[in-house]
Amino acid sequence: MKLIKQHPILQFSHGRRVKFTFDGREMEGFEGEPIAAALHANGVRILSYTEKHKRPRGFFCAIGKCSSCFVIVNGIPNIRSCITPLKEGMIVETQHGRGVFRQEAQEDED
Amino acid sequence: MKTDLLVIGGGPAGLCAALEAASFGCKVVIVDESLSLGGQLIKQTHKFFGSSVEYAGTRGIEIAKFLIEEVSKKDGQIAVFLNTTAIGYYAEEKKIACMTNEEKFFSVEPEKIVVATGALEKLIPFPGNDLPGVYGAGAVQTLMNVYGIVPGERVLMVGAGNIGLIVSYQLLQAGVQVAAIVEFAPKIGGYWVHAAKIRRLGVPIYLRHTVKRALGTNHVEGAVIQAINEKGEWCGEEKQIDCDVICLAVGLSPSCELLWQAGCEMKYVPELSGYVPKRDETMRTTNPNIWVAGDASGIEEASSAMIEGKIAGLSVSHSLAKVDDTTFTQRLASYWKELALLRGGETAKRVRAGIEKVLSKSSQNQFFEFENNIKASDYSSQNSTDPDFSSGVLPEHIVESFTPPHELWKHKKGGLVIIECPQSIPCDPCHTNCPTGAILPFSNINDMPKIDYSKCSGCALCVASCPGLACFVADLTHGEQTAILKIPYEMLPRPQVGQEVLCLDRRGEPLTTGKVIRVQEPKKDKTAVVHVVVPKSLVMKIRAVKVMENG
Repeated sequence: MKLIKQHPILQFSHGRRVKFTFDGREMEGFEGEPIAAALHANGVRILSYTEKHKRPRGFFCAIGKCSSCFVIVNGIPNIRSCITPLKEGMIVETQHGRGVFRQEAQEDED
Repeated sequence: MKTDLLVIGGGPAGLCAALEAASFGCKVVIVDESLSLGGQLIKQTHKFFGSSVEYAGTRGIEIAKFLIEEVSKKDGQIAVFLNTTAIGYYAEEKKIACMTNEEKFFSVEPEKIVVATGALEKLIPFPGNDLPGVYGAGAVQTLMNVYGIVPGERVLMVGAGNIGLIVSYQLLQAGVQVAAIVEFAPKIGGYWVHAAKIRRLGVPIYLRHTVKRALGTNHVEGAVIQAINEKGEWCGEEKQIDCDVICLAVGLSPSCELLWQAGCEMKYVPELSGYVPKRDETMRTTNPNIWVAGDASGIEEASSAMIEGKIAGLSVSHSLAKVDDTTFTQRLASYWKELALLRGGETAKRVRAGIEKVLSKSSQNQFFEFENNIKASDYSSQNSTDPDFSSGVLPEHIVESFTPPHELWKHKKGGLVIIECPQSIPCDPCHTNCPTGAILPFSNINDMPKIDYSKCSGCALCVASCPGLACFVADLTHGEQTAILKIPYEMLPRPQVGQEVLCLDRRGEPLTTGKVIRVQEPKKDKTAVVHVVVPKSLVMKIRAVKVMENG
């Protein structure tokens, strides 16, 4: 992970290391830190693609305002990954477009 | 859930509002969207300006720690809900709907509300501004200063206001390169001393330049910048910047959705950076149950946000009959006095003009007199067209004004102080930390420091405590040709005694090497004072040292 090793002013105390997956790839992050921060530390820059032009979107505001960091977490789309804490075993996926609830998607297929 | 006061937003303004109200016996609920209290304070590694009576000279992170601790001491009286967004105001039910962790909903039924929701980052249009790698300055701070994650290898900073300047310095502290800062205006918008700190470390500031496009398809792989003429048109050659992050520090907008929804009368005020609510002198909006404080009331900075928070907390307590009239009036007047001082400097002119537009007329007569009382003068007005001065480099022609008197200086063991603080800003730690009385008391904290050189011992406590890192000491008695320069230092690696370091001028150009003979940390606050031996002829030129790669 791309972590700051030494800092002249700050000391970082991270939480417990936990495993999660992003688009099926296993990754590690710190429990309780934002999902987006964990993804960034693992080198993930693209979090979602826009609906119409399929433009890649990444981390932008980090305060839950800009919608750029929407991802799918455990099947639920439109999760603001910049302010949602990481938990052990989370299944995180890149979001394409507006996102669909798994349940609805299931019903559509039926 | 019922409560006396609901504070929406647990940043500096919200925490101060909550603490003030709690101190008068109010029951308070704080909701905040993020994962910890403190708002933007938890990312601020720099020392604050302002008055030493408040928090001047203290790092933002330390102020956050203090406020959060105070809140936790009021456990039982102040309830805190983190990762909780206030999503709607229901006027008839007098309720605020909240959502925790993106899934759990509940409502709060408060008697009164303080909206301290802060601000959101502005964006500027350029092709590729939506690419991953284009970050708001706040996001870069969050990654590196809260979570210790390297935001990128090399950053182009867009905007030389206080945030752009401070975040550039913080990037250097985190070991990230800053390729350049571009600024649309013909001069930096932030405090001059913040710019000087990064110029002397070699970061260029291109005035009247901005980013033309981001390069890359999936993420930022570079940027193109270009100059702009007075009409705002592109001019000159395009210049390619090698970077993997474009950091936008182009201003903030007040976060005021709830205020709109609650029917508060709003006004567009460019000086306050967007729509803000009209208010009286107690920060009460036109909705009698709602107060506002901090950036949500107009973009300013944390020191004034904290005082606005206290005013709102005080006024809420008064409206709930928890404070008697005398205490209320006295406190209110003293808070306004503090605000007047903070807003008295050259850089706060805009804010003053903005507030005048939204403060109710009756309040203005009573509390808005400071405009006439405060007259601080500085060098910025006389040097407003000097390109060096305008980008944080002290021009040759005024260096003389900051040079100690030579007759006294040449024999003075320990040396004399040099304070390169040419702008009227609200700040006084150089005086309050001076043990000999050489740095004279401020009649107005916006004045530039005045020095009685005969009293200066060269102790360098001011060097260690100046939030702008603008104090230096030069001792000319070291040798025939050599002098000792005492320079503030907040980077890694820290120079070691005996080491040869590069000596840089005000633009970060290496002039010579010098031997480090002492490294102190007088305030034990991570600002070091490095004593380095330099040629006597260069004491008014060298302003930074850098540890060389190979030791």
